Amino acid sequence: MSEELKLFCEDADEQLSFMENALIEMQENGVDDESIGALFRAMHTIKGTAGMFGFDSVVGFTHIAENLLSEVREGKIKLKEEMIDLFFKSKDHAQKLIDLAVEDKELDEDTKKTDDELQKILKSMMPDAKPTEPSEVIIQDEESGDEGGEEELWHISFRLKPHFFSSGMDILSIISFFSILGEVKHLLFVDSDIPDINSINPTEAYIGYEVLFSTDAPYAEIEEIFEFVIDDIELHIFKADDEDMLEALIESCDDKDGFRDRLVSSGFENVIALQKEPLKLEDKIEKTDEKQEESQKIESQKTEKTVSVKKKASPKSFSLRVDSSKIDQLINQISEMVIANAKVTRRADVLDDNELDESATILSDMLEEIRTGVMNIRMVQVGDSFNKFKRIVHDVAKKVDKEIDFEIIGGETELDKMVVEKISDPLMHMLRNSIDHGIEMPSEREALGKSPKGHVSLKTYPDAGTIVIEISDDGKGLPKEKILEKAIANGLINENNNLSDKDIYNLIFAAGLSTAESVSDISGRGVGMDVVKRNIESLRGTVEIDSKPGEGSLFTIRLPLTLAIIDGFLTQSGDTKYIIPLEMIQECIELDDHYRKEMDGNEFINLRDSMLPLLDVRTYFKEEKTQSKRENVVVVRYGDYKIGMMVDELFGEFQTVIKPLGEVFRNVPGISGGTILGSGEIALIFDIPKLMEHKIREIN
Amino acid sequence: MIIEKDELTIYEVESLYQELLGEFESDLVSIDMKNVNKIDMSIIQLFVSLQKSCKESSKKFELKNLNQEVLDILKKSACEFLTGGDHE
Repeated sequence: MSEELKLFCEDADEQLSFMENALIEMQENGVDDESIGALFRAMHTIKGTAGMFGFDSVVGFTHIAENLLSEVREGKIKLKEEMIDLFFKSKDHAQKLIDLAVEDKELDEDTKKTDDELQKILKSMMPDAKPTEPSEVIIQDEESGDEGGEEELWHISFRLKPHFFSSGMDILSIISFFSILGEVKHLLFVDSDIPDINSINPTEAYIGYEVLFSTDAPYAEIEEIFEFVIDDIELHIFKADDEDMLEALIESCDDKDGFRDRLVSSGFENVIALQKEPLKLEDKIEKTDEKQEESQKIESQKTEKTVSVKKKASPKSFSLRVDSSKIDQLINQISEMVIANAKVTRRADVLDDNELDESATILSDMLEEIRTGVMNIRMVQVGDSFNKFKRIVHDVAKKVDKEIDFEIIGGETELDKMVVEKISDPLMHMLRNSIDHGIEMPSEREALGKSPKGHVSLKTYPDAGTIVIEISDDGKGLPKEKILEKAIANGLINENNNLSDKDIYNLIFAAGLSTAESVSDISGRGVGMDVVKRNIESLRGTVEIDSKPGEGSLFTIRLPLTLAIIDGFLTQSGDTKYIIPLEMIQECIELDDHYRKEMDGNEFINLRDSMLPLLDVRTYFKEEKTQSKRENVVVVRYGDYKIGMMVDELFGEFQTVIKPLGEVFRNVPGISGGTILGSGEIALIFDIPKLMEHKIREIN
Repeated sequence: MIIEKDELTIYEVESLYQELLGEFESDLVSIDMKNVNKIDMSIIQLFVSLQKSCKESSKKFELKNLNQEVLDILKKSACEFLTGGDHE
């Protein structure tokens, strides 16, 4: 796919997402001008950009939707609830048309049918639509054209400004767009300003076009063809029979006669007609004075047009679209700089050079700031992406005849864009499960004394260096007995198991385990929750389940804030250096004789009147014994749990570039990656959630 | 001169220009486009300049072995005259 096409797809996705969010907003809070404007802009922009690529089906459909939205925007039509549904369908259909156009595929029968039906409905809602049967509407449209307006002949003249080619726009796309709005009667390539081969600057533009164009579209719509290049061309649009404007145009050329002759020989009938009616001498004298005015008129019209287009295009905030691979590259380079700086810091230590040490510290601080800045570029508010779930919940609920009150909390929480994209499918699956299996039917809920409307929420918040996403419902809860039965039947566990409730609930993440009594097209095929868990784990995240019979279920997903560099805390156990993610650390304490005495051979200490389980890193990873006089405990928290990691040495904060460990070490329990220290040594990064899970299982 | 590139756009226009300057030294400026599948307006403009210059210097200009994609682009841009050899 070409770069331009990729950009088109991204832009169209964004516009359709704005449209969907606006529709959801209107569904929830009623119709408002801003949302109507967003709908119009989405259809208008997609129409314009699709035209550049010659995607006629997309242009045709969005043009009709745009027309209706234009009437709504101008207050000629009131946007009613059934129209919101229609625009939801139009949005989906536009997406389908775009997908087919981008893949260079013809419309299939179903899409054609939907296209016809939606176009008929959209047109029938226009204020001037006649109350006819749908089939009659089509016949009438075919006969009278889209708008039913009078065909008119326009003369369009444009010259590319010297910098045009560097704008990235292809004038051929603009020319292609003409055939969508009407018929190009004559097209003349104006090459008179092109210098000879020895004088030309090949990157500058010297050309232009004269177009005789027949269309029923109004002036404003013709002008819109040039919306994206308005600053890069000199444009004149006027009715072909406007002799004064035509004269003024010809007069503005250096080689008037040559230009006139070329227009005539190219068949521009308006110029031919002008020649047949030579002006009388006295008229010519008058016209000469007027010409000055006319060219000023053209100039001032042009300026006005430019200003008005600029006004329209002025966005609320400035944003820049950057290929994400460029940011990844930048992060990788910063990662390497962090490692190089660690080497400098170490060298300063070895040499006992205070000045070098100070410079390395300054560099380190600056690198941290750059790193944070670059990471922030990747961060997006989850709400923008999560809003689409409202639509999914709405559709699924409708399909299963349930009423759902869906709430998104903490949409302003920021998360790495890549993580947001990758978590989207698992969340969608879990939400569908909650609605399909979790929430009871309205009658059932009423019989249980619950509100007939089920409540599902998607809550996001930051916690100890992680982002937590909770999906909760007030449905019937997970069927513990059924899960157990099924797991035993599938041979996942044996009958004499001693599993806790949480362990039982976690069995739903095993492959092929579905307790759904009926398989629907929404969920219940037993292929999903295992994939959900795998997807979350691939993002170095975890998922937990809590459920209460009759009260509902809570799925808690924890995700790391970033995937590339973290603030770590460097420790040592035995001969190996280990990194603990800094944000998870609560405190460090020395394991002195007082604590040792209290432990009395157990792996617990009493920390300010609460029991803290300890994980001896040296024992867990089978490290050699060291002669270290001091032993330390690093208290870490993850979710609701705390444990103390027993380590030998504490070195302090360390900017940690996460490097994968490769195939052989990928599945070492308790280790999530590695990093390179300034000395060139490797330090291993603890997988705290996994270590905690191990410890809790051991205690249980 | 045979163009080896598959696409000729604004990204290639400067290097093509240098090649064409060299080609312009000879009496017959012949450009074989058999490998080219796409051109943009900056390239068309360059060819028009070359065609005009050839005419002024009484040199022969020809753009040959144009494939259908390129012919379509020339048609769409109203520059089919480039296929006819010398500039009118």
